[in-house]
Amino acid sequence: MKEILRLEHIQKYYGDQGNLTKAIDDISFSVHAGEFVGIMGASGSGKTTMLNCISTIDTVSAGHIFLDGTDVTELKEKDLARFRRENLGFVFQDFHLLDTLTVSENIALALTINQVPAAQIDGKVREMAETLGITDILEKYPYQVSGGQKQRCACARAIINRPKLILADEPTGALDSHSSQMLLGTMQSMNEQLGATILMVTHDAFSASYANRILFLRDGMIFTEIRKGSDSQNVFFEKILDTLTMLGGGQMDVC
Amino acid sequence: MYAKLFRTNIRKALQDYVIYFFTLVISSTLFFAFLSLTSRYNDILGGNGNYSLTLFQDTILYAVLAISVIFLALIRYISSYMLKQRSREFSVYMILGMEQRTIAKHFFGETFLFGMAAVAAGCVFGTLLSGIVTTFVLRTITPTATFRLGFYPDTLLITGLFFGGCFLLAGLWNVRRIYKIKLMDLLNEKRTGEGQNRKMRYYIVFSLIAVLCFGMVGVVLYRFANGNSIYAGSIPEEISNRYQAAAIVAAIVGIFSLYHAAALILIVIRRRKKWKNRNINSVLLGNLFHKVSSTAKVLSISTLAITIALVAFVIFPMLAEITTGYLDYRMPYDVMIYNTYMYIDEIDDIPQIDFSFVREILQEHDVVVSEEVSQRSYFVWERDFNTVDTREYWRDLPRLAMRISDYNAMRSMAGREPVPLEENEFFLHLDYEMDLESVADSVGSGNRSIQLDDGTILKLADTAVYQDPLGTYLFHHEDSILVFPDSVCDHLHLARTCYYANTETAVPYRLCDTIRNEIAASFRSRYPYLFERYEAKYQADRHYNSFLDPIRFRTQENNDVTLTATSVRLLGIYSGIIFFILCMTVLALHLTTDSLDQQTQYRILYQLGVERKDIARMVNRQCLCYFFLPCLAAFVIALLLIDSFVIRYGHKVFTYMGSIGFQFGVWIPGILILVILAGYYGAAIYTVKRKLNQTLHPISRQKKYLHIFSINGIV
Repeated sequence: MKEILRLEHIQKYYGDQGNLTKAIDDISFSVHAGEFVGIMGASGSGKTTMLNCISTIDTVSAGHIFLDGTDVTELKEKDLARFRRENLGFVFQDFHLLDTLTVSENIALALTINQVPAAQIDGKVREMAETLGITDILEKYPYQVSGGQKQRCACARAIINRPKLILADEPTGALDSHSSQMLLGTMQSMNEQLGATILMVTHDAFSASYANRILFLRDGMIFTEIRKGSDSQNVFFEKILDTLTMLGGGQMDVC
Repeated sequence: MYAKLFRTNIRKALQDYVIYFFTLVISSTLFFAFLSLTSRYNDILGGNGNYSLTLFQDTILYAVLAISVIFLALIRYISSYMLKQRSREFSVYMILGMEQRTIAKHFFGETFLFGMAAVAAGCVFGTLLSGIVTTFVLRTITPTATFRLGFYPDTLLITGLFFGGCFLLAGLWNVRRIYKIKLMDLLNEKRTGEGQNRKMRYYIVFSLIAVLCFGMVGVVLYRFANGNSIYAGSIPEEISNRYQAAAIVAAIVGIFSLYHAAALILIVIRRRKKWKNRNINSVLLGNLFHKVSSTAKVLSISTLAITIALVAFVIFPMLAEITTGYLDYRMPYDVMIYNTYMYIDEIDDIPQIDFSFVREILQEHDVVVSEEVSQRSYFVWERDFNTVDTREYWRDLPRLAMRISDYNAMRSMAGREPVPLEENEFFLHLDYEMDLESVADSVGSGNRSIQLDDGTILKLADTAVYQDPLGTYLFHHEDSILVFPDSVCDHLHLARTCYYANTETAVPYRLCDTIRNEIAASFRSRYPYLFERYEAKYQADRHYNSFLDPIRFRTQENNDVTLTATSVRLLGIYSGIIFFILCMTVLALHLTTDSLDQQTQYRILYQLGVERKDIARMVNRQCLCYFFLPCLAAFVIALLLIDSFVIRYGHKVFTYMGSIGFQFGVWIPGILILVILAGYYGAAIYTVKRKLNQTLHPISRQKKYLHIFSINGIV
């Protein structure tokens, strides 16, 4: 499989010389096309900082991040927006949908900012909505639909451009267990059927069990990595719990 | 801890509501400056024998206070808006166990202190501005007046009490709201616009109403402008009032439907996928629709208030110009006495008035008459004489003529050359406000001779029409009078006798009322039969004002008209500025607080890969639409309403408004509006852009290198 993402010795420090805080301390790993990678770790372990650096929203203090061969840390300010819209898809804990747009307009937004011809937009939105089961809410506003539906709308927006990498930051954080399961099923099918490469940050062991590989962070470093391989989801879930026990510190959701 | 919270909140309010703070400063500055004109400590406006400022000061005091009631609405609206914006913060306080009473007390204290700080600053600036305003007023009376500053403790007290009262009332209302509020409601404070939940037919109905109303305004003005004007180009008061009231009501209803119609247009545009699906147009349209539909009421009220401001800016100075211009025309003499026969039933009862008693009365008060004339008017056709009972309507009055000798004497007293008239000729003297050209055309194309009751035929003179300003008293509720040779008038029946005099020294203002009363009393004693026969019969008539009324003195007219015009001009500027800045504040505040609410949206767009310049462009367009849509609508509606006044006053508008007056009336308000608009829009857009930059500001490359260097110990 082709390597999509590679992090090389990235570091991220906050503050000045007198009061330096290490958020990421020399992390390196890579993600291949079609992978569903989970990132777990306690609060303050550097998960979100790392995700922000990969998504070019934040900059690294040292090291390099390559996305499909492009070193994003060397990109100029003016090129970052284009890079993001052409290569990345985002799913956030609090959905990040625009309240003033309908669900269909929210999904279409990702296409319009990528200059997709207007005539193709409706068809693509409808097709994606059918895939994710949100056809009946397309003309509703975000505040008129449930949390699970909102997050599926966010997933549709994230994948509709077929980005090289989807970054998900605690996507189930604001959902109940039923909606979480539905969403994770959606993400899994995005990964398996649509071939999306997903990097998901989560606290939740059950959510993480949908991934194929999990990186555990601790104090800004990769503590360990586990793979699902041929294990069933339940067995993988048990493995995650064991690793979390080993990891210790911080609060984790285990169900 | 509470004290620290209090201080922090005040500081935050100053940052977030800096525009509101400045509005309060400007408002209280204007309030103080205008009210200082009525201060009893304002000895600069002490007046002298020729002037009295009592009427002016009363007008300013009550009008300023009445206009300023609008501040209460603003203060209540903004503090309520602040309350809504801080509902989340208050919910946190309540969750932590802070009592609602304490929250209410703190909020009240913060808003009160915030407001009174602005008013204190306003009083300081107001003292400076009061010098300018006082000088302006003084210049209208004494052209050589110079700039002087004064200290007005009573104005300071009234300003403090007025604004303090407004803050207190608004504060108490908010305290009551906080007391009643439920924690659950605060936590679930609705942030979405109610407009998005409305059905399509709601917008269609309001759009139809808007179209209907503005269509009606157009039709009313068209019909108003075509078909009712008289030779003076103006339209009689009763007809004007009817048409203008219809246009104003239609415009107001139209304004309140306008933004629902705008929302419908946005819905239609949103359905046009080709334009919508281009870059982030859908976000712009969504935001605009959300804003327009959910704040339609605020936008409508703002539009209405801006319209009032624009109309006030233009109409008040225009009226002031007309009034002062009219003064020069209607008071060319120091003393003018009007006489009417309207309430005399028998033609033989019309008195031949000997006005020598007026000269004597003036003499008794040391006012020496230098020149005078008793202007006699005659019935051209005696058979036309009619009474209250036989008149078809109030102004159904017979044609009158005056003597050429009286006419030339009046011209001479007004500083104009006498005009010749042959024995068998006549001409027409026309009201100054009338359109000379059209009357001359009409007279020229008609019958050029006139036959009197005794068979005498008079030809129209070569110069058929004169229009020099000789006052209005020579007309008897008409727009013109015929001028005949004296020999012809000798055979006509007298209709009325008016009196005009110039004096060697001006009649002192303080004596005007006394002299007037003495003249009226003397006339009554000299012609008692008039009062005995007709006063009891007609005194209930709303047009009845004795047989010798009005009696006017140039000193008094100059004083009253000039100061009334000045107060109208000042009040126009005051109300215009106040209404305008209040609307600008509300709109600017909505923009700036929206930018806070929309920070998340900007961040999402940025994360999705929208270029920063595209977001900035969208924000610009959004702000432009939101800010200028009410201004544009108000501008168009104000133009229509101003046009209705121009139709109403006809040639007066251009006759009395000299070039300087016109500049004062149009350019200065125009520049003032643009300055205020640019100031508020600039402040709002600066705040919005600053917030946008803060939201989209990533950690700079410079900072990254600093980190690396610091790690390596280089820095």
